[in-house]
Amino acid sequence: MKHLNICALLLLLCLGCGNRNKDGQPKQIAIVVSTLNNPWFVFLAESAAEKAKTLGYTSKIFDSQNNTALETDHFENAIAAGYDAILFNPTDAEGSVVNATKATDADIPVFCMDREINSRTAATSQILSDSYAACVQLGKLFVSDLDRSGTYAEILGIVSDNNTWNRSKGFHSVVDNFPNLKMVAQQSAEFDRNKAMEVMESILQAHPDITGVFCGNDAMAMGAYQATVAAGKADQVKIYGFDGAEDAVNAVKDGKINATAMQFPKLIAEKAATLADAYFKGERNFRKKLPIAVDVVTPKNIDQYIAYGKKN
Amino acid sequence: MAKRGIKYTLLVLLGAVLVYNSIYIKSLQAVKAANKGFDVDSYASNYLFKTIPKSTAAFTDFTSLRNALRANPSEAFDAYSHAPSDGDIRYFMVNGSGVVVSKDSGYVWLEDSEKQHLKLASQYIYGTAARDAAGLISVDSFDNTMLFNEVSEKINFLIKKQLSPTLQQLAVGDTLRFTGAIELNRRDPVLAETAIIPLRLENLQNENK
Repeated sequence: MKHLNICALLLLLCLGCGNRNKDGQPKQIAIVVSTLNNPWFVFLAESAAEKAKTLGYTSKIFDSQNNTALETDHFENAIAAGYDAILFNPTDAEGSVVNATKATDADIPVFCMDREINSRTAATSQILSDSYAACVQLGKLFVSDLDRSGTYAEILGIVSDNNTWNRSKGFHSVVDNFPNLKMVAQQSAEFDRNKAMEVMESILQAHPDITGVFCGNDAMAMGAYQATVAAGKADQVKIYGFDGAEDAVNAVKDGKINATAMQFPKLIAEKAATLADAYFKGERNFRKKLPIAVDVVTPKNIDQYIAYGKKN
Repeated sequence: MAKRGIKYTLLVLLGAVLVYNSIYIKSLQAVKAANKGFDVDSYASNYLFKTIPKSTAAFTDFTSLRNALRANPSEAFDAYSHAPSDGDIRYFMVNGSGVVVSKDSGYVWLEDSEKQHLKLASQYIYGTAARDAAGLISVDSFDNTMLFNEVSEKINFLIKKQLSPTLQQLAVGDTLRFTGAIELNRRDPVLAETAIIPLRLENLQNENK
């Protein structure tokens, strides 16, 4: 009989998981981020949580650890627990579509932050850094800094993420116009600092004469920098990152890397929380894709920036 | 015995519910099919050769723009520029004419009616100015930003392919009429150093021959 009661209770819990009791309680916002192993995403998630709190909502941060299956679990838990909105930093442009769709089908609005999913309907709105346009600007700087000639390498991010290719393509849309600039290596380090250091070590062994490296994010730029220091080539190789992370901003200031592109994670996170707030208040017309401009940060304009944003 | 039967039935039912809620299968082909249906080549070609020629209301006379920027940059940006995002980089669709005063491997230099020099890109056709300057293409129309950016690259490719013969045949002294796109930084709008990305060109010398 005891077992029977437990089974019945579990069944009722499973079947009843779609019910939400929101009467008198603050609305809940789930913040699902691709990884908390990168300070940039930690800042993004914490900024979203802070803004949600300011707006009068409770929130919880879920770490997908760059694993779409884990992300699926988070979405299921968020739906089952009756969260009212999801602020979402996806792990995979294609693979995350189904998760966002499931929430949307359950009438839970989804607002993507920074990373994109390949759908116009799965999310309520997607707030995205304009990575391509920023990397066009980085490409122009790269061409100028390398004086239009030399060999260089590229370290890519996660290959299933649209940001990886938007950044790479924006950069190449400029640099490939200059035939004396030759890319001798292109390899993924999955947006990871340690992997980038290993990749860069290999690249430097195979191509000791390279004079530049374009990295798809700041963590990889810092890893590449460590490798150039270890190889005694820090003065030879010009390094370009993307994000505006704290250590990269300091590295630009100190002349260790040549440039980064400042995304504005606080702005993106606050925008997502504000759109969720608008949704709760009845707004239903949202731009499907909302590009956020990205600034190129160099030693010339570094005084205008701090980690993750502009100085006030 | 009956209790055991109910217990097992409930367990099976519970298992089924858990399995049903744990597995979601969607064909990647089905997801990708949405993007495959989009013809980037046709879209870019249609924009460049059909939409732009009919969109003269989106163009600003280059000389007028220069004067507007000198008088009040902020107002000029608000009135004439477009961009997909709210950053400092903005794009203008311009038209004008000038006499060719010099050429190099990357640019053609013109002198306009006010004896001011302007720079027309002949080799370095890149960036998103040609796509964004008229404000006619929205990222909201695309399933993903990669497609949106592919359109930009295709427009640049078509410009280069279409206008190369005209640009190569230009000689110093020729009079050129152009429609083009420019990119300016709101914080530091230096028009004299900005290359115009040409979208349409007419060598008036050829018309007079």
